Amino acid sequence: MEFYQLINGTLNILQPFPLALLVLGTFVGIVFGSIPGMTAAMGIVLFLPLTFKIDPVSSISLLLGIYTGGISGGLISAALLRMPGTPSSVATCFDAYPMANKGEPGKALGIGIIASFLSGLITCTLMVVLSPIIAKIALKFGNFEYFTIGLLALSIVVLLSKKSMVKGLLSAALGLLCATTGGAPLDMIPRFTFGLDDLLAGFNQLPFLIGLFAISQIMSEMGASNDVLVPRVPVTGVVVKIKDFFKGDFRTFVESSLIGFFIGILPGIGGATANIVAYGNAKAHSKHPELFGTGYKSGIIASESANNATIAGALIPMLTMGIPGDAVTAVLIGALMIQGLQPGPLLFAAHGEFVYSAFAACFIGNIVMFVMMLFAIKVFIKALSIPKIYLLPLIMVMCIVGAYALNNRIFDMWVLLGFGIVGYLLEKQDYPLTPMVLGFVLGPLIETNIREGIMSSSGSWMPLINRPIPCVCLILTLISISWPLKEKIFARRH
Amino acid sequence: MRTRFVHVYLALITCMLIVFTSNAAFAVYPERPIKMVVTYKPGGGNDATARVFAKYSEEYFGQPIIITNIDGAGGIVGAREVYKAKPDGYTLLWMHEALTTGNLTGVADFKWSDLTPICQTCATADVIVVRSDFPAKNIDEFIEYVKNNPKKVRMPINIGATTHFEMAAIDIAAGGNKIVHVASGGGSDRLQKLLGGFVEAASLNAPTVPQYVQSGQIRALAVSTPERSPFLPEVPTFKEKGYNVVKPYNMNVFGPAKMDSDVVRTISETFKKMSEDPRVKSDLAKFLAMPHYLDQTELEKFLKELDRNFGEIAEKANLKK
Repeated sequence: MEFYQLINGTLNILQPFPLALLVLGTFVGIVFGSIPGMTAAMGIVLFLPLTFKIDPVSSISLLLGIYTGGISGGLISAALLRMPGTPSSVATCFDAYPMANKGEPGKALGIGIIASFLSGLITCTLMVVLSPIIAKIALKFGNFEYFTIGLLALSIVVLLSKKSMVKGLLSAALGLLCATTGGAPLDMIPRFTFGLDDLLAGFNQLPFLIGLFAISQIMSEMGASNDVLVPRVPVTGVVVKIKDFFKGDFRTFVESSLIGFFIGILPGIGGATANIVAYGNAKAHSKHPELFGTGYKSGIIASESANNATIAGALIPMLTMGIPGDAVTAVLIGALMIQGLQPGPLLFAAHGEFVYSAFAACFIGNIVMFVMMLFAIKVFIKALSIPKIYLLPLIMVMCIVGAYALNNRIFDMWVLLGFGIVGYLLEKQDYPLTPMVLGFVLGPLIETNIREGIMSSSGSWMPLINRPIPCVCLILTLISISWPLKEKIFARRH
Repeated sequence: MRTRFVHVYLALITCMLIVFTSNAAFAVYPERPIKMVVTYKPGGGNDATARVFAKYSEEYFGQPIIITNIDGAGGIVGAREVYKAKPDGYTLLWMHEALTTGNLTGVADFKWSDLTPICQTCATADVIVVRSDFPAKNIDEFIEYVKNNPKKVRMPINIGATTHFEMAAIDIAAGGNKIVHVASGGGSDRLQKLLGGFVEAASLNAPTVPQYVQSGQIRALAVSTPERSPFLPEVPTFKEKGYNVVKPYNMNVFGPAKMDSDVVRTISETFKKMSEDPRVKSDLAKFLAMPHYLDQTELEKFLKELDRNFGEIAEKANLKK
């Protein structure tokens, strides 16, 4: 029965109109994803009114195309400009850019695209097969579970601190501090607002991230002596052989996809966390952790397979329970409702064919993305190899427009520029920026969940120990934090 | 030198003429697009209902309404943006009753009366639900259960927002200080907490409820609007069961203080016409709301009554800051 629905769904998507929209959506998504400051969510909000007048299957294929393209497109600017196109591709910069800079932009993009594509396909399959079960398990995750998962993810910081642990921890603390700015998440008590009304909403994630990574990069490029950002080299090695792709990295790929998938399922944590956590995880288990950050294949695979895996993950709670997994799925719920489809427990029963069409759109969207990105590589490398006196101002404008378009507030533009300067200064002093991002993204999650958790347990901290998942997570966190200590002790012995 | 002076002078005159004529043209409001601030992220019910009206605005206003999402601090950041805007009728606010509670709890340093209330446009409702394995079968049994089992029932709320007042009113109805409140995010977060077993009861937007009732996961006990919800006609109101729990849930249009009364009338009357359009009605139904129009005086009266009601609850439940 389900199998027939899946075939029907696939056939629905392969009709000329939905397929054309899927292709269009993927293209739009890649463009939005590849521009620093523009995200998949923005693309979807922009195209939402277009879907009001078309049928549900066509509109979901358009929107899922934008979603898939948007998450994947971030790879391009991460690899070629060292600026994450979306918050989901922060960790991609670490290895894709050095590889591109060494004269292999084609290979860097090729690896990223294959990682995105394969993890997209695998997690889509997981979604189709497992979504009802997964949705039930995900519901059992309460505040204490989220709190400890947040802590565990934050402990990755010690693995990301490149040279100096102190600098890494300071950077994470700075991120946590920035996250506490504004009204407290539960009771709106203003913190660090200095009487400024604008600060009451805190710093938005997008201007924060794009400021730290893109604006600071623009600033340091202004002082550099090269004329172009991407050297015009013959594009080679795009088609990486599958055997070479998996060589030594099969485990990295599988683990990163699962991490991304799992983080995607949990509402409130999304691609911005997944790619960094997967990167840290890959580094911890690698035989050559010292090669990470120098243009190492594993780093690209970890980040890019994790961020694409979050898409399927985030769709599960949305389709099965009506609970959005991230910002994009929140908008998608609205898009479905205007079609008269209410995401929730009855959607499978009442509109099974539609749900399977959505699954199929995800699947086929990945294929479209793959083909399109392979073709786009050459275009992008060519486009970005124009002299930087033309390119940098253009990117700067895009970043500022993106920051403004997010919430239509002038203040966000100042936040963007402010964090650009902060990011520039920190980089100059050799502070790693990723711990700061992780602190900023996870801080509110950790704080909100422990406070809500303590409220629901009437002040008791016991659930942290006597519930299985929090307990395991806490133990893993301790192990993760003490990892460098262990290495030091071993080093002394030998 | 003199000719240059003349040029500057002429330019100044032209500028002033433009300014004056544009002021004179004020009579034909609106002459440019209207910015409507929605105080939540795109995608939720607040945003969706505003977009329904925006969709038909060009037809009725002759100008488009541009939806602008300014999220943060439970809607207060966006409201403040309008509070500080020029009262020319080109910046409006789309907001539900959180504006009244925000000031009582100290989140907002301004009241709804510091803005110009213009009209009410559409309505929806909250319903108090429990998981289907909960012992209480109806609202009387629920209140009784809460009374006899203090601190056993947990409810998710937004601190300082209308759900907080709603919970406090139920708590007072059960004798006071009996329900444990757990801070939470929006509707989907509350639903997740309820289905996952982390709270015993929750307030959900009524129209989203039927599907979960049908799937056998939750049970609806009572709606907190003064009248029954058309989306759940079989569920009684608190009021008809004799409990003083009233929490309306409507979308209202506000503008900055000191707006021109003609402009206010134009906006209000246009929204009235729109709310009578059957297309608006059927579009709103998709987002689980229905048109519900109140003009400026009616809206003011409604908000004053709400102030009194919420003020009483704040007094009894000690929510005031």
